[in-house]
Amino acid sequence: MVATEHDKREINVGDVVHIKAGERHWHGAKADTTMGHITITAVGGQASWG
Amino acid sequence: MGVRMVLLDQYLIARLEAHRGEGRFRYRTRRGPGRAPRRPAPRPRPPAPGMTTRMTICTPRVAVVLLAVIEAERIAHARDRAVALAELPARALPHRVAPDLGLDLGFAHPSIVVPSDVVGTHMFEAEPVIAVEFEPRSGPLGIPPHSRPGGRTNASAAEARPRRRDLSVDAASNQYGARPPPDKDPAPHPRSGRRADQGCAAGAAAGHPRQLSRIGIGRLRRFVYGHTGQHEESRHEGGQPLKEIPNVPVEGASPIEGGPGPVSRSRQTIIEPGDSANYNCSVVNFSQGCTTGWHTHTCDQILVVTSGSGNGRDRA
Repeated sequence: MVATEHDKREINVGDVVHIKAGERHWHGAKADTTMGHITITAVGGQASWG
Repeated sequence: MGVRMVLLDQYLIARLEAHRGEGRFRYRTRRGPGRAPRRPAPRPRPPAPGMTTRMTICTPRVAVVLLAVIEAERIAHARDRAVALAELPARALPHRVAPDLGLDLGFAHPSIVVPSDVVGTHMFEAEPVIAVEFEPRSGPLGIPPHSRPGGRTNASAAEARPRRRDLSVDAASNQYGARPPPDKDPAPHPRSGRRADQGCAAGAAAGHPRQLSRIGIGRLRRFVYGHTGQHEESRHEGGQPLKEIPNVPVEGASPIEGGPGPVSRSRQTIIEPGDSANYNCSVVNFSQGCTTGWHTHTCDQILVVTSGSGNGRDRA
């Protein structure tokens, strides 16, 4: 799953998600699945949680 | 500063290409002393008088005298009608000149000076050879043994001859008596569009695996998906981790609503910190029902979903 404050989508293998800088979001596995993804961010980019 | 390229006469190049492969030298036979060639071929230099005399003397004793008259293909200059031996612009060798004897003289015998004008066409057509082997894990880049300079491949053989420079000028002017083209700037080849010196550079690059790796591929790794054996309970193992890369638990594991309970998240770093000045890249594995929780990045983030399983479907 990947979700922003305005959207919530189910994603599966092969999907590519582009999250803009500053977009509050979360991503992870559904209740009955595991999930893995490659993540690419910029060096120096910081994540603020909450 | 202006940079210009002067084109060779395209008709000349096309004509040379059209006759490529044909014998450059024809041997005409002349029977008897009295019949002159229909059209006396202009020669670069007249034959020595002594030779002519000898031919005359031999004629009565031999019924048929084969007088070899070398008629090279000739292209008349447009203005002064001077005749020069025709040469493909920095491509083909003159007739009966072996392009490559297979001797790696430049490497095996550094003291032997190989004439710089002996150039085979394969040197122009050589494409860069990617001499990087896959590695199952991170580490220094290895060079395949057959690509080392001591190897006997064509690429290394080409590498060991540091003598192909300014071919378009030298090959046409020095050794074989042909006059240089009117302009020194090599024109693009009509078919490949590649200039001679560019092809030469490509040929040189073919034999330099070290240099190639320096400019192109820093590290090439192949990852295989599969269980690492680090976790026994697949229920809490996120996704399908990559083999060969340590799977490190990370913070930020929030259970999804209606999830199974304890969750975990782990990371396998693909690009180690400091390896790239631009990107972080890793694989993140979520256990069943695990999410990151709300967060915000100061940069863009790209996610590529690599695994997901549940209910027999690849859904995450």
